Amino acid sequence: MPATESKRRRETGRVRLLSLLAWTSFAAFLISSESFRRFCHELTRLAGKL
Amino acid sequence: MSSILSLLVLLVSALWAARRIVAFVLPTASSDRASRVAAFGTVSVAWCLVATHLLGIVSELFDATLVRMPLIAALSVVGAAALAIARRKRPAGNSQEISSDPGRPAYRVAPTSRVWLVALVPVAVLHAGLIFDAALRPPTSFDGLYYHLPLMFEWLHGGRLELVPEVWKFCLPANSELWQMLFASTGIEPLIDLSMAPIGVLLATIVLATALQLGAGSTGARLAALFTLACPIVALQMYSSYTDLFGTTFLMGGLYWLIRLARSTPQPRQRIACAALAGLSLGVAVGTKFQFLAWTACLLLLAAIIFVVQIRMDRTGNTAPPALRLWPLALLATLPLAATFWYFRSYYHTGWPLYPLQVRIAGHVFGSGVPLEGATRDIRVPLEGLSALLYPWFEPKYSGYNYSVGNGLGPQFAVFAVLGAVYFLARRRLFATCGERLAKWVMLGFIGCGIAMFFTVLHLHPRYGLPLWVAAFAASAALAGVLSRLAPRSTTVLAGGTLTLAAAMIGLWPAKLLLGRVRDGALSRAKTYEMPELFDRLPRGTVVLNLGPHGMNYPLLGADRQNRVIDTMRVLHYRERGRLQLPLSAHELDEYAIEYVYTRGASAVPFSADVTYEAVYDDERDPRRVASTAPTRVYRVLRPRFAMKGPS
Repeated sequence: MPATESKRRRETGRVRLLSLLAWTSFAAFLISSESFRRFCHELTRLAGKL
Repeated sequence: MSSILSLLVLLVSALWAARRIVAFVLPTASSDRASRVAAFGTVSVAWCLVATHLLGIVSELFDATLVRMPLIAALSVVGAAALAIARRKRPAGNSQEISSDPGRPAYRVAPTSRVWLVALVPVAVLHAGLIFDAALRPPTSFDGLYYHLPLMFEWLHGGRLELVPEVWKFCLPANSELWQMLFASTGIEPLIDLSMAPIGVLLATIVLATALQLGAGSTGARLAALFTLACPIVALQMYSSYTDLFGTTFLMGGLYWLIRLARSTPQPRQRIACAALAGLSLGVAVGTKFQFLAWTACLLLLAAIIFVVQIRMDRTGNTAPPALRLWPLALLATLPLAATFWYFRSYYHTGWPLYPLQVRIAGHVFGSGVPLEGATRDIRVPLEGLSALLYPWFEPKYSGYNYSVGNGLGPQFAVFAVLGAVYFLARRRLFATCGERLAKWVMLGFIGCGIAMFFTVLHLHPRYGLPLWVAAFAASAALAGVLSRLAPRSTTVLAGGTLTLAAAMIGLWPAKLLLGRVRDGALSRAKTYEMPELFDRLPRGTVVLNLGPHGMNYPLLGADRQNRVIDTMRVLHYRERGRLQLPLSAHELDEYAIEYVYTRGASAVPFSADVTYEAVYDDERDPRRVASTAPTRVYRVLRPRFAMKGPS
């Protein structure tokens, strides 16, 4: 039972770490992406026209 | 009308033949629909291509014009009939069953409906929008207008897949153009770009099947397929005349069948079936673009490794029938089917099978044609050094909107694919048997080769690395599956969020252009191409000289592709030989039978004093013209023998 519990905890911890890394990567994309910057710029421009 | 009917007959006979071939090669595949669809799609496309290649070869050998849609359709029907007869003669009950069980995926669970649906919606909306846009416009992608589309109509007009030595871009392997030519023959322009959509769907199916083979659950595999469909390069090339998507699809097909062969194929027939499909698929890729030769060489190296490892694995069993080692022959037998024509044609006309690609090895030059640096001289390099390594997060581009047919991987790549590939490398639990481990290393070997090629050669343009990006998406399925199973809420938000953002970023530009065209009432062909309508109404066979941009080579062919255009590539070729220099003389205009001259941006009249001409179009005084665009002028050359011709 303790072994199973430890395994489950390890797996939960691993998934949390992976999830955190994925979110961090998403944040890095939003901050650094030239594409996202131009997309936001274009959206702002279009919104201004409307 | 006859072309539409011919296309329908060709497609129906090809699909019927593919169904029979797949049923023979994969007789029992009830549990593996993705692999059957992948095989069915590959064989269908290869069937159409090989039928056209056969007529192309006969045309070259006998100097005939046989590449006509009714003949291609007839040949396809004859082939399908031959298959039906062969199938009937074959004694029943001798088909050795082959299990296509994808094995024992670690997380083979029913798709988590919420993640699946949330991820599906933005991708479906994006593609519905892109289909709607493509159906309302003629082809617009730059390379298509520059040389892919003019090449297709050169073939259709000439009735041959001829080599045009004066234009090296017309001498390359061109399976993708051939596929689109079949649809272009109908005369329905939107069909040309739309014909690439089924190829993109086939690619997504191959990614799904590959992910399943690599032990991902169905949720992860489906997410990987959706990531692929929401990759900007893939999504936008699905409605364009670019060729990278076509070649990548069949290259990934070859990888998929090799992974399957490596993973679990204890019977000789299974191995031969997988190898034959891998060879056929790789042949289509090799016949699409020279760059796929390098990718295919990597896969052949991996196939050799699979062969050696399997020999060692087979020895550990009781008896290993010699037939287990026959599969490389099947691979090598089917590989040339959809590729040989292009290399034969080059060899037949120039004595060098790789013409127009000149190869330099250790200072020695092999073959004739254009050196590689000449072929890529117009490419600027946005990725160098560290920026290439961080490309998924930075996605740099010199000009224009970032997401295009040639640039951008989408936020889902930065979030899932990079991390997913690392997770795939580190995860051992998914790969318990020797075959599963071998399959894993085939995938990793391919990604490794791709990274090496990307950093040395293919970084010239992100779309050149498309097989690498797609392989990373397939490898990310295990991570996506694990996250969606163990952290469903967070993954739903993350997958849905990245795909929605990708769809919005991809769709913004086409939507903006479409709405602009609708608002301005500019849905006609001429207005889309911003050219005078007179070119759409010229009498058949009118010769037009394009002194404007490369992107006008196709539009100037006219609405019914009735004009003969001396395109910018030929102008360059002639000028290198001292001909068609400005100002154009009456003698040269006569020699080339030029009737109309299209210019953009040039201020001076392009004729010498001995030419009589009429300026039939000049938009410089047009108040609607945007001041920043270069003025367009069209001249009509006046000669006695053309005096009766003119816009009708």
